[in-house]
Amino acid sequence: MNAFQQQSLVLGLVCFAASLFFFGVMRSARNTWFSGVIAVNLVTLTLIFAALAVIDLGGERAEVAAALVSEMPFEAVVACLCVAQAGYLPLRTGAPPLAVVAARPRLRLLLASAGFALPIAWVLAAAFGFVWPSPAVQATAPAPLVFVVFKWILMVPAMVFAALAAILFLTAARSEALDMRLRVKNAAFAFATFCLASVALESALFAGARVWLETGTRLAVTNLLLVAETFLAIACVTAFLLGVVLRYSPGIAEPLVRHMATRWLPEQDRFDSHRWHTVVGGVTRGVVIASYRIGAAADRLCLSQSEAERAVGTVQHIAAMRDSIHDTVKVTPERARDLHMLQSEIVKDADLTSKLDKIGTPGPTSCFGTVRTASLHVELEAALDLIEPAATTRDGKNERPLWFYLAAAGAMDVGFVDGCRVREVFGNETRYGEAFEAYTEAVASLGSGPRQSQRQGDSLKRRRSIVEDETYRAH
Amino acid sequence: MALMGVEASPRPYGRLAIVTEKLRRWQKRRRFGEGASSAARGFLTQEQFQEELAVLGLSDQPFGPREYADALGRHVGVTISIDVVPDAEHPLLSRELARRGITGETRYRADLARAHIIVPGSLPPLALNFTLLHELGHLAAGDLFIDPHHSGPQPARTSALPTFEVLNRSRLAHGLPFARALDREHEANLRAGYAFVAGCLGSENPYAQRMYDIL
Repeated sequence: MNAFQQQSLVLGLVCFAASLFFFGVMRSARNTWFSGVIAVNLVTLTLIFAALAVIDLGGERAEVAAALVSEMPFEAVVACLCVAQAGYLPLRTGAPPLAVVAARPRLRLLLASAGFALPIAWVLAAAFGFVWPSPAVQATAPAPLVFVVFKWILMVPAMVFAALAAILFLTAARSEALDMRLRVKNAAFAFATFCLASVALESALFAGARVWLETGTRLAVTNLLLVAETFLAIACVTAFLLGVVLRYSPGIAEPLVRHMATRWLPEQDRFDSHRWHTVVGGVTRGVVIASYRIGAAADRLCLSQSEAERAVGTVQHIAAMRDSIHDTVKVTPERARDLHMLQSEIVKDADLTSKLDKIGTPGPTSCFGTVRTASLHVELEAALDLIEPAATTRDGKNERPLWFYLAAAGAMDVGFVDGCRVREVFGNETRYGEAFEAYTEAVASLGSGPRQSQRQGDSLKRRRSIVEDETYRAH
Repeated sequence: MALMGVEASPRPYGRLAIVTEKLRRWQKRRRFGEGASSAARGFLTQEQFQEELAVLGLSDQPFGPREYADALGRHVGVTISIDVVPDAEHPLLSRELARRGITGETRYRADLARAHIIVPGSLPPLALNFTLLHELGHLAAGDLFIDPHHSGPQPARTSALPTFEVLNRSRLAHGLPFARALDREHEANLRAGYAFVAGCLGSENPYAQRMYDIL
């Protein structure tokens, strides 16, 4: 067995051990496009090195062919890495490029060119090697100058692209805003890709040593380089495996984010815009009166500011739905119910809603207050319950917070909901009576004339003139 | 409902440029006619939007409409200003806009390279942010750079939606603006939704993180 066969045997065993480990431990746990590339590569390399260790090659052209075949998986991995960084790998269609590449179109193009440049380099080296054959796989024997040209055509482009990929992974690993696990993952890939570049450099130096060094020095240097190649191969495979095995699961799931962006937000925007049209535009009369009276009643009941806002918000939601009840393209109770379901998905994640609520607006705070996703959800639910009150809506548990009953009183007062049905469902609750009493007292104290109590068997007086709205707006 | 106003520059081309432009359109119309609609495309995906954010330098950081407008303006070479009309100072204007259901308006001056977005401050905060991002989405897509003298979209025989060509100007989006106004509005809504979520989540956005987890 000559030195090249020995080296092939060592590398074949390294690849075989890595293949066993990969298929036994990792493949089942981590299945990405790159784990597939690694698997195919490890098996191919094992077979190639095993064949080269067994076969005693005769003739320089056969040696050139063997060298070309053994370098093919290496070139394929470098090309895949670069094209994946550019975001153009067919194996991962639609996937984005590496973040540090996305903003640099020329760099992206350069990386993508690896997909053509490396195969072209391989074909050029093959053509050159077959026209001017050389002892390509003899480990320590002296070689003619054409061997350096053959080897450098093959290795220098791969070295450049691998070094570029390593730098980019390192840049990604240095991003401070990133989760530590993702940073370590990118650092591992940077190290592995750096090892690939070093293997290519070592291979180019090896060719130079065989051509230009004297016998004694050549033997020492080439043996040293072969050992270095083995260690680099082990380090490279280990770092790649480490990078792949480091699983990163985002704190907020992608489907939830997509759901928010494409369904909930446009629908919430439609509803909020319509609520604004109804309330600020004064399209549905009575909102301002009800809000003013609810505020006064909330003071009597010693409700907090947020509770009073919820009651007012509920009345606004009902107004928005009432306004477009006959307009199917706007906000119908059916669409509101759909929106409520969409909101339910979002408010389940407390971390996510807290982030949404931190959003500021580029201007003075509107009369609708700040973003409160959970409140919007609760208010919409209350509005839906009041529009179509049913004992089954909350599994028979009809006892609600005081603000809910206050909203019910306000909505009944201005004729937004069917008072009889609301009383039928909620009338027996203690808090309902309490809220209704406070509301009636607030109405009386605000000087809108005497009003009949529900307990006297009649509904509240409904005065929904725009003139009255304007009077309250002036207050 | 949001309005867009485009005020084109009186002389955007020289004579030669007009002839070249006409030839280009004629060629494109021929391609459409043959069913080889290279300009036709589907709607923007969240991954593609994340790439746009990376180009703007906002991919893994929290941002609001103003930051997005600044970064976008720098990229497309347009000065974008945002005016939130305070409800307290202009209650009648606010009320009138609400009555008409106009949530926002963009005025674009091609000759001055300026875009001015106006929104009423009385809008609920979520709708206000969404409206601003929607208007900025039109700018990012290049919808306001559509050539007003274009003869109209040609029917594309592909399943993808037909698009308009735009003047040779720096744009953020990879694809051309859609020919149908409805499609342009839908994509602006998509962009607003993506931007809203990306701005809220910052580095915790899973789509931003995916750009660091490519293998």
